[in-house]
Amino acid sequence: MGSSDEIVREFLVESYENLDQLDQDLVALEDTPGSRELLSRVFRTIHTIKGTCGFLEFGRLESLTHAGESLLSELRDGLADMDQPTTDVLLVMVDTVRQILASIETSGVEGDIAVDPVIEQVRAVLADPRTPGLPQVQGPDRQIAGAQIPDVQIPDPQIPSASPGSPLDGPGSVAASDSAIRVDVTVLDDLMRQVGELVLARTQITRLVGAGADTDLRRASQRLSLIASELRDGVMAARMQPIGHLWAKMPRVVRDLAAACGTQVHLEVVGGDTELDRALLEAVKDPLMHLVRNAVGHGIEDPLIRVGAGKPAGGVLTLRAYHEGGRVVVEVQDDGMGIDVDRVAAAAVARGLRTPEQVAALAGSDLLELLVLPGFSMAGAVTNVSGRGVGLDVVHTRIAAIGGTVEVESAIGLGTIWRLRIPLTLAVISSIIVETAGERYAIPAVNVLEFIAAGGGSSGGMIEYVGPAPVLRVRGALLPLVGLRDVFGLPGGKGSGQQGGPDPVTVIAVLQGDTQRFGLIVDRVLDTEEIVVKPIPARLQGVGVYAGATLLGDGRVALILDVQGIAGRSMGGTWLEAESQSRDAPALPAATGGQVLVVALAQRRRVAIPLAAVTRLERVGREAIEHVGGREVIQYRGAIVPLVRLDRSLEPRVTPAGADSPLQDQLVVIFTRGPRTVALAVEEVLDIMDDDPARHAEGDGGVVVDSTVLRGRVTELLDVRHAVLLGDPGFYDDDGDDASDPRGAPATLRAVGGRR
Amino acid sequence: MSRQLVTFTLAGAHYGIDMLRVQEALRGPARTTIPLAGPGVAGLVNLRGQVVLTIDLRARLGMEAPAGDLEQMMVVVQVEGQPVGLLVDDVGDVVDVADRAPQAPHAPQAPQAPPDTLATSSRELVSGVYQLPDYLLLALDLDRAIGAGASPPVDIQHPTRSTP
Repeated sequence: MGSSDEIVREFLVESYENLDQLDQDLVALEDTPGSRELLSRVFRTIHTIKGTCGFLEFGRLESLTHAGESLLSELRDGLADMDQPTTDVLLVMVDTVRQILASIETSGVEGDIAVDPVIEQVRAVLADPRTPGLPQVQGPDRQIAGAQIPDVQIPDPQIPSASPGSPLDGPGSVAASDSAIRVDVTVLDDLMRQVGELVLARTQITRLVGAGADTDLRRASQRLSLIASELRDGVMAARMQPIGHLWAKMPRVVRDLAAACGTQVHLEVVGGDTELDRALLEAVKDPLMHLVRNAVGHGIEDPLIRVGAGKPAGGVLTLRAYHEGGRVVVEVQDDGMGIDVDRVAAAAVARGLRTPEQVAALAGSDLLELLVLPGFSMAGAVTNVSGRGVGLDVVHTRIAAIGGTVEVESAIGLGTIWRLRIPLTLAVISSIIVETAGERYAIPAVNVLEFIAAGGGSSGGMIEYVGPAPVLRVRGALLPLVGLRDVFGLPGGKGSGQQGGPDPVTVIAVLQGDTQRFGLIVDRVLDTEEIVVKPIPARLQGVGVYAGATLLGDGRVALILDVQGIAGRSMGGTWLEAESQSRDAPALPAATGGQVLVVALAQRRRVAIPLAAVTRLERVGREAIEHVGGREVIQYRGAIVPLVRLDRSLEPRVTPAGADSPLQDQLVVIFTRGPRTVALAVEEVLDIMDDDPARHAEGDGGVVVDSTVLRGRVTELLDVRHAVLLGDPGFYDDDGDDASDPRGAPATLRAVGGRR
Repeated sequence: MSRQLVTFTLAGAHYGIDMLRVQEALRGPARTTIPLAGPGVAGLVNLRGQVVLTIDLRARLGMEAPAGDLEQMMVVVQVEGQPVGLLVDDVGDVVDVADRAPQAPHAPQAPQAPPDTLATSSRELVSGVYQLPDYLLLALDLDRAIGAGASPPVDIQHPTRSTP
């Protein structure tokens, strides 16, 4: 049976390929009904399947394709015209052929798929009275493919009969298949793996040969190195496939969906020859299909509505692929109704995915990110087109899994663009090898922006702390830091800037995740290396900080870090996208929403302090708080600094709980202005977040300017000037200019970005 | 029905796994530790170009780590079509055992349920005990021993054919 199995398999592979082509051709035939070449090709495909299954004794398939062939031969010979019902019945036939093939593939037999009704439909269309020349107008209603085809439908005689040799398709437009051979993808995968090994072995040999070796040996090693690289490039090129392969199914999908939704959609494809690694191609297949279904199902409106809005009745769906900066961008664009952010917000609230407060705090473009939340759906009812609430989040996770990103742009009434950015290849990526705790890790180079050395007298500045969170000032922006040792729960984390010798140099890799930028503290940076990405076992994927594994030049396994995963794991609670810029920032008026430091006082009060006004956060021992003339002071950097207790100012009659306990450290916020410094005692630093002045409520005009809602909780905004003056009445004495700035601080920081 | 078990030792006790699942045994290659992978995961090794997950069986069975100078061996087994390495102290012989109660008086040993006194954690991993002439052999339930059952990976290298 071995050889016969082989034949069946070949037959299946070939037939699937032909059927994909057939779908395209049939839909194209609707537009150019006279195309002889298309008709012949369709005929040939069906004929080939029929012939082969006769040989392989698949009776049902044979009789089905035979019926189809009869219809096609009439069409080809100009005895009948291609029209809507004919296309429909042919597509139904193709679908049935597909079902039978699938059954053969899984079980080896044709199964009990009913072919007779389909054959009947085909015969019905065939048997229709031909009435050429009679101008019978047919209604414009489109049939839903797969539905029963009424046998009373009269072929549309308006379409002129086939004009032989239509200029659309000259001879030779059939792809030249002689120069190509079919290779099993597993063979290619194996080749790729082996070439990966070869490249590693080459690296090893190059290292062994070294610089001082014998000239001949060195020359041979260089030659090997060159050949290995070329071979790798060659095998990788062999794995590349044009994305047009994926799009081949789309005309059919769009046609059927549009028919089912009662819309008219014209599909345009641009850049179908853009090539992608086949593994990636497989990975984007479903997301792409989903976006197309969404665009047709939700995006493009009913023809009447479109006309009412001044648009053409038929919508246009554009698939576009192009290279951009080492990545492939795939766009799905429709000119439909666009996404209404208010409705998105309402739907997210209605489904309990977000609270109204959270939604209200989001800006317009951020709202679109709600679309990719699991369980989110805009559709009122579940249809077979969409509305199950699984979808866009899957698109997002699938694309993220291959190191890509998803963006969406939308304008109401104008349409929506979904943009997938996909790495060129999965197989080999450029990476930076770092070392932490004696183990080496690879960071995809595409995520690495730069390296900074901090501390130790280097130019990179010092690591500072906002509450417990280490940050670094980089060219005016605050970069949140994450210690790789802390991520891994290894000893020696975080302290790399604080402990162990006199201020050692800390190496920080500045990384760009999907949304955030952050600094990863590593022990050492070793090298850049081209690495072959290997999948890791499922349970390691679950950890969430590894994107894969690779083999280094010495044969050891190294884990590839998932930058996005580390960002999500380490910064979810502590940091928002806290980036501040100092250059050219306008003065910060009282009502401008900037970033605020949210602190907790006694009695669980939350107070927001404009981050721009804060010089530092410090932790001092309770015993370091001394009393001078009935006031509390601390010694800070060689000066005696008055300590202001906000809670006392706000609640003068209540003694703060735990204030006199010597056990705990006191957290203070330092305000410095020239030689003068005031420390503000706080219980806890909670967060840094963006403040929205539109949400302020009037305060009492005292220490608290007004109150606002931050992340769903009422927070009082501190008037820094007022509070500081409580500690040092002469704080602003030497400079009258500052009267213009009620916060009393140089407004050098301006908040940008910032979302959760 | 008899089957063959590959035996190995852990802290002096004898364990066996189905020989049909064993691919090879080798002296411990260099391992890369995996932070956050959880207890029982010993690391990743390079097995002729394939990245293979290695399980620390001592940890899985609730035993102490071996003495510092013991170089453990790795038994490579097939789990769901993927190789997985098991760290063991030493690899022993292959023995014939019976699946069920013996029909003939001199047939190979039949398994018995592990004694109740065995710690619960290891009881779950031991599927039976064989009374061999020289020692007791504990048959390991391989899938449980490696802690399989995690959701299958989304393997983008070998996607399944999906129909539109």
